Amino acid sequence: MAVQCECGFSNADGAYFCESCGQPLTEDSALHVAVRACKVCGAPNMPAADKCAQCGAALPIVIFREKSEAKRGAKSRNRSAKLIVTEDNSIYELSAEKEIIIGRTDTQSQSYPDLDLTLHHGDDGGVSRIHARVWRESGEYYIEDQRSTNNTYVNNQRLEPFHPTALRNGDIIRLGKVELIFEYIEPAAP
Amino acid sequence: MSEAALRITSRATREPLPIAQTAQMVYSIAEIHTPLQPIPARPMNIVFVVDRSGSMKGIRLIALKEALRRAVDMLDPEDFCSIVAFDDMVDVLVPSQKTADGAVLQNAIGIIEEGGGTMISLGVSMGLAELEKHANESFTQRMILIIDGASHNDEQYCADLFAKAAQSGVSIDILGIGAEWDDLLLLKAVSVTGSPLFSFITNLPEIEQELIKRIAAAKLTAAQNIKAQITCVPGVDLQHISRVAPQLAVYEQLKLPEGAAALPLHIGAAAYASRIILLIETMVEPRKAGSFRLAKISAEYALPDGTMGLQQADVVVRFSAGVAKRPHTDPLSLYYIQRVNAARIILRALQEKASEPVNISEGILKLYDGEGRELLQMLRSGAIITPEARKKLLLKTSALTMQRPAPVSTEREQADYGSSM
Repeated sequence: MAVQCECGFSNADGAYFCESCGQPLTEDSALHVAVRACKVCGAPNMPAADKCAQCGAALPIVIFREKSEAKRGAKSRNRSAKLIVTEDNSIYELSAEKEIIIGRTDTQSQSYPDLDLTLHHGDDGGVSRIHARVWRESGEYYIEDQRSTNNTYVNNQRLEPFHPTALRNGDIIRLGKVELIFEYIEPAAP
Repeated sequence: MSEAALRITSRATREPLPIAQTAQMVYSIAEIHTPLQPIPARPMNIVFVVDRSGSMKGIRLIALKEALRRAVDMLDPEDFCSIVAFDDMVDVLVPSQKTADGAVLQNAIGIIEEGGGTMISLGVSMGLAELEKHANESFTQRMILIIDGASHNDEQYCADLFAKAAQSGVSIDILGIGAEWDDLLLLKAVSVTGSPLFSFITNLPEIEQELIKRIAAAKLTAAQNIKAQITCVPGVDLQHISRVAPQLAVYEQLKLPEGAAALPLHIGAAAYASRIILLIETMVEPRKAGSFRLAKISAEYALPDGTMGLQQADVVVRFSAGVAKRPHTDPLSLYYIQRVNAARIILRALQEKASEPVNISEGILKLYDGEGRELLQMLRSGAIITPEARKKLLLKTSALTMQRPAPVSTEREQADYGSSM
């Protein structure tokens, strides 16, 4: 029995994704397909794996949250966040709706990033004009290096260009030599 | 089984399968494992086939020569090496010989001069002839093809030569400088020989980096000339077979030729302690409850000592009437199925070269990074895809099964994991 996709294409029974447009066709495939990526070689692994099947590297232990903790997690997903420039503790509040570009101003190339690190030694600190992008998705904040010259680091781990990385409270972000701290903003007590 | 032998395992992506009244798609994963323990490296039989056409003039040629000098320095005295330079003529600068006398190689690199057009077939043909001089399975057979322009009127001849390379067990590493070379033609080279996808070099220092990386990888070859064969039982129709690791082979649009009993697949070479993972998509006629063999997969290969090996495994699935319509599918298989399907859609769109909008779902867009999403939006809108954009998209697509996915964050997803363990 054929499975009809929203796009109109008729797929074979048992297909998970539409052969024509890639749309998920089943409950299974409509879920976020999550696997455990190896930090060493990048290979995907089964969620319960404790070591990478490709390179043998140990995979970090996952602690599955209890339901109540998951609820607390849901609350945290509504929190806004900020970036603190460690050099002078200046604070930049992140928008929940709009992505921001971090970089330095360059009038010649008409580059005006949302978070301008020019005044924080961005120029001699090796910050590119368009260095990194930060945005919120499904309650989590992500950072992505924009193929910067001097790279973006999170907790001293270099990010691959254009590979989104989830940010955790207290993460230290380094763009060239300029350091920022990512922190959630605690909601005011009721 | 010797320590150096390969091992094949296979599994269905969900079990048991429901009994259906009509034919259904059944997905299986086959893995070919290489030995964990490094065994003495085999010497290499390597040819550098370099484009010296007029467009290489200036800093490109300087960077290429510098990179070649470093590359030949990496070879061992026992390795055989030859250097072929081509434009619309071809010259064997160094016939295949042991690399003990490095000065010969260095001098030959020094005399490369640019000029003329580009006829890739001339270079590949002469390169294969040099490799044939020491076509012994105990050598790692490797061609390094470095090009910067499109070939003219010899596409079919090139395709025939790539097929010949596959038959001889020669892997071809392709380094493309700039954006002018014909990526779709060279996709055929990597497809039929099972070689890694080409490198797209936009910064000249990358020539040296890529060359070093490719030669280092070649030195870790645990088995080469791996040829898999999939034979389906009656009532099972092979739809597609794709390699998903170590690199997603977006180019494998393989389908069983009508009337053929088995599909041969060139996988090329494999490194130590690695896995080649294949996704097999079959259409299966209705079955009764019980376990059934859907297909047999075999892999023939050459080991470092020159001996040939053969391993086989059955692809078995179980059908049951007492299961829900859709039993749980393991997340890793679903991950591969999603990405192979996406790759197929993107490749089809790129190959059709149509300027009409392509229907690409949001789900596919989410698999790509920011730059990839922008390129896909262009495909979606029917914009003309530049050669540079096409190369980037092909490379990003081939990396889909190696990217780091977003971390698990929702209660629903974690509950699903729990049920799968």
